[in-house]
Amino acid sequence: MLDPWDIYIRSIEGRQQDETEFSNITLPTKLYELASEYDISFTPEEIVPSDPSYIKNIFNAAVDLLVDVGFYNESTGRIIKFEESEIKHHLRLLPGEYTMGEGNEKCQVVKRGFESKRLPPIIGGPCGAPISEEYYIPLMQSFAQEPCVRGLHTATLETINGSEIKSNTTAEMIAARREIEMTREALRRAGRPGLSITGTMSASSSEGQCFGHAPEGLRSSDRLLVSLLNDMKVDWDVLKKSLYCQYNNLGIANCMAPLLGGYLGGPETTAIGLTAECIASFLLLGGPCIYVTPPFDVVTGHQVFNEGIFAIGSMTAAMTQNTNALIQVYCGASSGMCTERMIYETFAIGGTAVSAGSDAIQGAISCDAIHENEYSGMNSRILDGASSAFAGMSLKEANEFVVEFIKMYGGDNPSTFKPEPGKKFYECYDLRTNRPSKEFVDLWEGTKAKISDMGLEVKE
Amino acid sequence: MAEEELLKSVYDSLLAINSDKTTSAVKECLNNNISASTVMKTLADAMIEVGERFNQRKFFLPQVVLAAGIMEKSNKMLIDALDVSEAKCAGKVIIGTIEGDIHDLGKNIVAVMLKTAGMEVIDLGKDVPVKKYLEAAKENKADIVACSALMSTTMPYLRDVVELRNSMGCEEQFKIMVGGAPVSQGYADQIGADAYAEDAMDAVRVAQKLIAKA
Repeated sequence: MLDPWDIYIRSIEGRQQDETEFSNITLPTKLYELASEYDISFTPEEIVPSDPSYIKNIFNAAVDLLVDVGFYNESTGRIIKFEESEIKHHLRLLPGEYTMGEGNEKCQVVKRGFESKRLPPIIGGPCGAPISEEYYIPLMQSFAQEPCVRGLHTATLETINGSEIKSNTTAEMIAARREIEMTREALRRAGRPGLSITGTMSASSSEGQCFGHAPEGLRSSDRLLVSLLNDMKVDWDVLKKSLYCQYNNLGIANCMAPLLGGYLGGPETTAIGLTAECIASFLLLGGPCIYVTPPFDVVTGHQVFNEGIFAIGSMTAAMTQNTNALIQVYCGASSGMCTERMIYETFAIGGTAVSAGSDAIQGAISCDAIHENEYSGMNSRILDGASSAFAGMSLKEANEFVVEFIKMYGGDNPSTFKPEPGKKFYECYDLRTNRPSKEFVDLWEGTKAKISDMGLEVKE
Repeated sequence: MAEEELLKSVYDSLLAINSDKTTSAVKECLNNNISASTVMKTLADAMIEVGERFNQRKFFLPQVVLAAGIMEKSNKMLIDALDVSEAKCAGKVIIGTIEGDIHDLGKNIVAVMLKTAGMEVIDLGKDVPVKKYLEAAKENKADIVACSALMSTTMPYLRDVVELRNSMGCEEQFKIMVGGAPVSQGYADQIGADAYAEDAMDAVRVAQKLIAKA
């Protein structure tokens, strides 16, 4: 990572530029030029990239973008510039591993590489999706008690003491602390108090999020999510969070939730832009890893279309081939929980991430993380199934399966795609025993059999 | 050149997102005595096609924003040539992303689409304090205040906009329209907003309805 003081100086002394000009002209113009120069193109039959020179081109285009356009600091209206040599130098310094959790639950996240048989650790949880206070602890416990889960990602509390949580108020600070305390309670109930926690999600300001850091809250072995702004931007709020973690020895998880069809443009240019954002996160934020969602489509809000999966697959492959950076892809679905379609969508994204080299995976998320209480530990069990099926597979073979899954749920046709509505946690879990319903287990077993008929072995 | 051909040139140049060609095609139309309102309609039709292409993922946001900018520039040239009776704005909208929220992409798309529909849009940007919406609405005699929120923690401020507007007794002066990922029709009803829009195209339909009712 660059010296934080250096980032500050670049932020206040860099070239001034109007934000609209940066977003509407500078960034897209360069992206289109680079896509053409490096011959990056999207075809629906090539979702998981396997051509080494194509993967190298994505990485080189991303470095060129970063050097040419830089990163925009919204707070100062100035460009943070990078030299190619310093980008490569700082990427070389990345350790390629980190440890999360404590005691019995210590877990090493290490660089896996392409086609690795090593399973990526699963960080289970609703990953920021809204959960009501009433179900927060049992729902998080359902994730923590899944043996495949090696860390827990918190959710967003819908309310605090029955009231709405308002940003920039003390309510969001109390909510952020409560979110972590309740997650810790869920870990205790599952008998896994040492599992690592990634949060906080219930506050939006940097003060609110950092307030989750406390002896009973986030600890050094946990991670605070520090997310870049979309479209090659940061602001003081983002940089303050990163600095807080560094100075207080709290683990950082760089984070990015890209958009498809926005200022980064279509699939090819989004693949380049997203790779550039990932690289920049390691220079600006300081974490050893980056948590990345597949791009959300700006028209529909869904993240399971082939174009977005292509972009996340290309970025993961480019970072795997060329850096020691740890990539952690959020895997999930637009369809709701306890549906067959949700399983296929999880397999498409999970399969892409695992074969392209994702070093850990988060989720699985259902219903694009929009609906309240529509997540459970079974989601992680399904993601583990996808991971086991794809780990060790060649990129070419993985691509064939991913393309097939996308066709099965209609992700190749965004205009007609409709997510399948799902069920709530309390509708498919027995709340007394905190175990999945027979209906959910049978659905998973039945779908596994269908997947097996496709020639894909789900190991458990 | 025939009128049809000249108008086609305006339409095609805007779809090609070519600013110079569009403005010279517009000038050519005026030189050939084609009415300003006819040229404006052609530009609006081209922008509708831009919107369609955005929905079909053939165009992306930068192209839509640039096309809207070209249309605005062309319309400024045309307004001078309009009869006073023709120069009527389709409505005035104050738009912004609510206090505490910096996610403005959806709001930007809505702003462009409203402009495309001929409305005057005053964009307050992101992280807009509740009071500022209402001050801007009063000052500019707006028809609609459009507020978006992307986070559950910023959504409660939408209620504050409605409550403050009502406490000012301005319910009839301007209507409040809300939207954003966590917002729903149910939430809009619950907080007393006048309308909810699901996406950018819906926002145009909803805004037109609100203005027609006023």
